[in-house]
Amino acid sequence: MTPVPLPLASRLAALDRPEDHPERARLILHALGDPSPQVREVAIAWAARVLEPDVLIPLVANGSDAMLRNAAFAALERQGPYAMEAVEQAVTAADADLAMFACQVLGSIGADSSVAPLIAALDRSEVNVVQAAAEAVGRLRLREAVAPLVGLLQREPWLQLAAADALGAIGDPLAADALLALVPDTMVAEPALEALARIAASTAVPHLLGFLADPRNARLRGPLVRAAGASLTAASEGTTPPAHDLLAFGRSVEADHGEAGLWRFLADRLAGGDEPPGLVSILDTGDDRGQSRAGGETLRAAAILVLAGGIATLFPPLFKWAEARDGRAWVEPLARRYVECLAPLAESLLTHSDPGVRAGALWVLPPTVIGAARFRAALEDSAPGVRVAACRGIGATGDAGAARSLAALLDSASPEERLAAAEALTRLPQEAQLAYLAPRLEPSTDETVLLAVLGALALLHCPGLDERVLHLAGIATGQVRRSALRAVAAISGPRAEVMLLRALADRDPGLQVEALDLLVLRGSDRLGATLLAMLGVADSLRYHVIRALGRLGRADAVAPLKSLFSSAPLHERVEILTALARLGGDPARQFLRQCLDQSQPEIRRVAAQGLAAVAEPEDLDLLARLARDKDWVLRSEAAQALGRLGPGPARPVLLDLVRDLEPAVARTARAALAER
Amino acid sequence: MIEATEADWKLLTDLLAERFGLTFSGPRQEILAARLRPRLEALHLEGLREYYHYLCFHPGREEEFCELTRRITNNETYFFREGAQLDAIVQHVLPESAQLMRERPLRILSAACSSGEEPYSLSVRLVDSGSELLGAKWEIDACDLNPARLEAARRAIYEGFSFRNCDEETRRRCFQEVEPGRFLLRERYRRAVRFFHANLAGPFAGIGWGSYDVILCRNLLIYFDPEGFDRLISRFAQLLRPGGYLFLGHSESLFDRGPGFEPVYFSDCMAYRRIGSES
Repeated sequence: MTPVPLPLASRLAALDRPEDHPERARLILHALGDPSPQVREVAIAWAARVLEPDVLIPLVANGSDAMLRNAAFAALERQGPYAMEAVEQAVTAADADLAMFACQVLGSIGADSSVAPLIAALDRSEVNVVQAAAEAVGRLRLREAVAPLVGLLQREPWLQLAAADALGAIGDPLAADALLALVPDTMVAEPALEALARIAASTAVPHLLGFLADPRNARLRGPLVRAAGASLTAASEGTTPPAHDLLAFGRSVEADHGEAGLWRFLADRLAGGDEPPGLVSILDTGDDRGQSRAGGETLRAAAILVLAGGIATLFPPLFKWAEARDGRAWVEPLARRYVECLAPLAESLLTHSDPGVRAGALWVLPPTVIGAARFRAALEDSAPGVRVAACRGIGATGDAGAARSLAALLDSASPEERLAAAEALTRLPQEAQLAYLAPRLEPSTDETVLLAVLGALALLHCPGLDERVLHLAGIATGQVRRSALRAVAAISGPRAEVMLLRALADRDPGLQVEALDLLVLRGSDRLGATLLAMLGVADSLRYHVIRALGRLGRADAVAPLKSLFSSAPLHERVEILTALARLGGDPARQFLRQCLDQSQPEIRRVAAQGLAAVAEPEDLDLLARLARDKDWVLRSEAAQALGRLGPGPARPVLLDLVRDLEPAVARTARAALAER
Repeated sequence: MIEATEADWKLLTDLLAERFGLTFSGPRQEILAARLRPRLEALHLEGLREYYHYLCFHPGREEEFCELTRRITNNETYFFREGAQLDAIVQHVLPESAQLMRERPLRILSAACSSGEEPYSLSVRLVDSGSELLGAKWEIDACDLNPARLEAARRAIYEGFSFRNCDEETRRRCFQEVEPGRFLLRERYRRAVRFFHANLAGPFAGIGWGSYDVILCRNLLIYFDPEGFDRLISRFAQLLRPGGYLFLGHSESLFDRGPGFEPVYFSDCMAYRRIGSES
C-alpha cells in the first residue's frame, strides 16, 4: 500500500526541530526530495545550515532523482565558502557525474584556490566534465585557464562554445587571435564574436573590419559591429589601427547604400532599430549579457565605427542622439575623440534641416569648432531645443556679445530656456552679469524670471550680485525665499552664514530643514555651536539637528547626544545612534555597545548597525555573540562588521554565517568573506 | 542607485510586503529604488535604512505611507483595456444572470481600480448594451489603495493617455470636453459606480462575504509574492458568490493556484468561476 503523504503543514513542521534533534538530518535529507517547492526551499536552508558538504556532495550526482540533486546543489551553493574545500576535492572524483556537478557548484562558489582542480578537470577525457570546468573557470574569471581554454577551441562544438564564452568572461587579449580564427566557422562564429566584444582587443580591429566589409558575413553584422566597436572603444592612441585603414573601411561602406549593404545596417542601428536576434542572444546564458547585447550596445558600437571610418552621411542620425541628456553622455566623448574628422563637417551639422541634429551638434561639438557667431545665430533658431543648447555653448565660451539675446530669452521663453539663459549669463564677464542679471534680481521682477536667475546663482556664485541676493533672501517669501537661500549658500562669509542660521527659525518647517542642509553642505564655522544649543529645544527640527550633527562630524557632539538619548522620543533616539556611528571614536563606540543591551529590538538593531560601522578589533567577541543572536538584523550587522575588520579569527564566525537560514545574512557574510 | 545593504533592502521590502502585500524582488527592486529616490530627497534622507527608520518611527510616518502608496502602486491604466473581458461580461455573464437580476442588481467589484478607467469602461459597455431596457440592473464597486487615484476616479475627468484604446466616436458620445484636451465622463455612465478605499492585502472592512457576482482584478497579482497571491485569491473566493466570475489580467493565471475556481473560456478571453453551490 502506498503511504499517504503528510499534509504540507506537517511536513514543514517536521523540519522545525531543534538543531540537535537526533532525527534532524534524516528529516532534512528526506525533505530535500519533497514534491512541494515550499518544503524543499525550507529543507535547502536547513541543509545548508546543519548538513556537512560531505553529506550533500554525493547527492548532486544522484542520477535517479533530479529534484533531490537540484536541492542538494542549491544547499551547497548556499554554503558557499564553507563547502568550497570539499567541492574542490569532488572535482577530482573518478565518478564523471560527480566531478561534473562539482565543477558546476564550484563555478558559483569557487575562488582563486579553485584554479588547480578546475584546470586539471579541463584536461579530462569526459566531455561533460570538461564543459562544466570551462564554464566554471569562465564564471570565476580565472586568467590561468586561458591557455587550456584556447586549446579547447579546437575541440568539439560544445566545448568550443563553452571555451569561447569563458574566454570572453575572462577578457584576456591573448585569446583574441584564436577566437578570430573561429569567425568564418558558421557554428561558433557568433559566440566567438561575442567573446571578442567582451575582450575588446585593439589588435582585433583590422580583422573585424575585414569581416564586416565582406558581404558573405552579412548575418554576423550585429556581433561583428559590437566586437569592432568595443575593440575601437578600448583602443588607446598608440594602439588604434592606422587611420587610412579605418577611412578605407568607411569609403567601402559609403560606396553601397543599398538595402542589403552595411551602410543600411548601420543607418538602421543609428535610427534606433532593433537587430534580428542571433543564435547567442536566443540562448539563455543565465548571466547579465542579455542586457548588454541590447540595442544600446550595438548602437554605440555602430556610432564609433561611423566616426572612426568617417562615414559622413551617417553623422546626422548619430548627432541626433546627442539632443537628449542620455545620448549626450555617450556621444560627447566620441565627438571629442574624433573631432578632427568632424570639424570640416560641423557647419553642415549645425545647419541641418533636422533641429535634433542641430541641437545635438551644438551640445557635443567643441565650442572652438562651432564658433561664437554660430552660437549667437542658434539663439534665434526656431526650435527651443537648439536655443537651449546654444545657451550652454555661449556660457562655456563666455561670449558677452550674446548677453542681450540671452536676457531676451530669460524674459520671455519657456522655463527650460529661461534657466539655460540664466545659467549662461552667470558665466559671462562680470560687467554682463551686472548689466543683465542685477536688474532681474529686483523684488518686483516676474517670479519665473527671478526663480531662473536664483536657480542659476545657486549653481554658480557671482560675487558682483551678492548684495542683491542677500537682500532678496531677507525680504522674499515662499518659493523665491527658498531659491534665494540656495543662492545665499553659494556666497562665502559671515553675512551669508547668519542669513542661513536665521532661516533655522523660519516659520516654514520645510525651509528650516532646507537651511540646515545648506549649512551642513556649506561647512559653516558657527553651525556646530548653534546646533548643539538647538538640541535643548524639543521641536520637529531637533530630529534634523541630530542628523546634521552626525553629518558635520563634530566630536564635541558625542556627549550632548548621549545625554539627550534617554529622554528623546524613539525616532530621535534612532537618529542619535546613527549620528554617533557617523561621529565614531571610543565614547560613541562604547555607547553603541551599551545600547545592545537595551530591551527594545529596534534600538538594538540601530546600535548594531552603528557598531558595524565603527567596530574595532577589541569588539570581536561581542560581534561573535551578535552573530548568534536570534534577530537576523543583528547577525547581518555582525557579518558586515566582521567583513570590515577582516582579521583571521573572524573567519570561522563568517563561515558559520554563510550558512545562516536568513538569505540576507548569508549573502552579507559571503560578501564579507570575499572582500578579505 | 540608492546606497543600500542586503539588510536595508530586506527590512524595507518586508515592511512594504507587510503593509501593502506587495513584493519588490529582483528587477522590481530597481524600480522601487527609482520611485523612492525623490522621497529620500524630499525628506533629506541619505539611504534606504534611514528611510526605513522614518517609516517605522518618525511622527510623520503615516503621511509618508500615504505618499509612498502613490509612488509604488502601478497606476498604468486606460479605457477599454483588455476589452474582450468587458464584452464577455456583457454578452455572457449578464444574460446568464437574468434571473438573479429580477431580485437584485448584478454586483461587480473592480479591485485595484486606480483612477477609475476600468469600472467606467465596464459601465459604458453595460449601459451601451441596452440591457437596462430588458430589466438588467447592476452596481459596480471599485476600490484602490491610493487615495489620490480614487479622488481622480471620483472626478472622472480624463485626458490623453487614458484614451489610447478609445475611438473618437466613443469618446465624443461618452465624454464631455470640459476644457481643451480634458473630458468628463457623462453622468449616466458614472452613476452606477461607487468608489472606496481599501488595502487588498490588509483587513478588508465594509464588504460582505459572498457579495459579488463578478470581480475584476487585472494586472495586480503580478506584484504579489506567492503567499500574498494565495491570500488575495482566498479573499476573492470569499467575496464571490458560488458561480461568480473572477477576471484576471492576461499574464495572470490561477493554474495550480486557486483550488476554489475553475477556468471558463469565452470566445476571446477566459475567466475563473467560483466552484460550489449556492446555499
